[in-house]
Amino acid sequence: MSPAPMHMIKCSLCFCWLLIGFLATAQPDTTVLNLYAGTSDSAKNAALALLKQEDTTKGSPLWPAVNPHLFYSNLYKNVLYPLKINQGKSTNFCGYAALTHLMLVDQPQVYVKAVLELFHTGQTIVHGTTMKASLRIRKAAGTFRNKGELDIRHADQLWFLTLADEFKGYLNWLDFKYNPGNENTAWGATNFSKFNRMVRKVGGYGTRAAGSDFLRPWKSNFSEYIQAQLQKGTVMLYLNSKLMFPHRFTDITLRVPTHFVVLYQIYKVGDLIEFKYWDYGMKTEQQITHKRLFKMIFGITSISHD
Amino acid sequence: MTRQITIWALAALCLMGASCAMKVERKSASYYLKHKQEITEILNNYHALYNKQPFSCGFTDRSYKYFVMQIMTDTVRYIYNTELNKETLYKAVKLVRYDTARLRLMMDQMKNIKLLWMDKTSFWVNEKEEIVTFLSFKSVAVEQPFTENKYYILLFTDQRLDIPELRERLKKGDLARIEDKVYFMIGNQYR
Repeated sequence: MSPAPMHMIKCSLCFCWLLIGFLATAQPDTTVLNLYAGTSDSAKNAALALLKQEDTTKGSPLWPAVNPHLFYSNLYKNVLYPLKINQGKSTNFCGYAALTHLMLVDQPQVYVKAVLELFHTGQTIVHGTTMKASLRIRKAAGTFRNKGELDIRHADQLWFLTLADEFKGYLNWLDFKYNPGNENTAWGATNFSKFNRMVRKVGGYGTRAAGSDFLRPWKSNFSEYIQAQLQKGTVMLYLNSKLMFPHRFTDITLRVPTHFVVLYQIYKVGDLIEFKYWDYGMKTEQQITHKRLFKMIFGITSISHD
Repeated sequence: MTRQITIWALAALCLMGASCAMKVERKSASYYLKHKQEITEILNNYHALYNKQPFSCGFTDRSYKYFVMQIMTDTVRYIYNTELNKETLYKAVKLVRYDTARLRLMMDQMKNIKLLWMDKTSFWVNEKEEIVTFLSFKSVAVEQPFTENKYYILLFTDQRLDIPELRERLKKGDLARIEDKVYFMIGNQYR
């Protein structure tokens, strides 16, 4: 067999490059998420490889209060134990923590790259979305006190503050600029559409949302709808946290959503609903009545696996 | 119909007026000192059971009928409530092999002194975790509707804490020292 002429090799190479280019551009602009399959070894290793290139003793002049030891140990822990990411005590960071949990399970390398870029340069581009840390939050990260474990999780402080500063919803209109102590005020709050926007822009996921900040989803049977969505992909719930733990010590409970959780399982047990969800650094399994489930849920965000 | 509404409105106003006029006695250091023995026994039982498997527990109603347990593993928290499903709670208690006699005794003791919730929490001082056990009660001594919706929280530390944040809170008055390792505060949340 005679060797292929040079121009044929060139043509083949060009074709290959074109094919690769086409495939790259033909990819959907949303990331496919399978939360329940857990983190893949390749994604975890890619994230750890990024961290291994870092000098973990060197701080960043952009983030004066961030301790490099606490920052890098926090990042390592997040990659190795994605369940443990925690919004901290007395903060309004549940939406940011839920999104970060998704990213840590599904695309830890993207998360690590973004946090490292923020740490070194003060800005990053994630899935085409530019995030720039303002001077106020750069000074604040690393200074939290009385927020539980978040006090020593400096990478989480940096990341949550950046997300809160970058994404704004109508709840933040009254308090646009960060001041110390704003972690548990309207400045850090997340409404349903802002949450979905963050999931799309920072997570790169395609979302399907039902419900709102005031009106519950227009579905006849919540548990069946959520179960159906769970079959197709990942589900996050926007709910009233007080109604999750019912008690009769208060006379009035405001019927408004206050908390974001990532749902893992939901099924019927006799007349009750048993569900397992993630929040505050761990999974929780509990039973609830159909009526309470209906009262509790205001928003359902689904990310399809397809 | 209008007459009925007026009667109900008047009745509600009378009730609110009566509850406002009533002298509200708030729990303070003296409440702990008065019940010190019972509280110490509850704490001993709690720590003994907690060492088997961490958990928090309490009641969900004013009649102290329904008991809730949150059993914690490293990654999952299981919440069981006797109001919804007694059997699941019993199964979990059996599975963990808690001392059921001690648990029952602790439950009765909690009910006797109207303890709402008991748990451990932690805070961080100089990158070191400090664990605190807390007990929550209604802040006022009366069991009436429309009373102050706050909670009297007793905090028990393992060692005497002398840190700037704590000193600041003591100085501001939002935390009060009762004994060396016992503090109390009035909070908005009981758990």
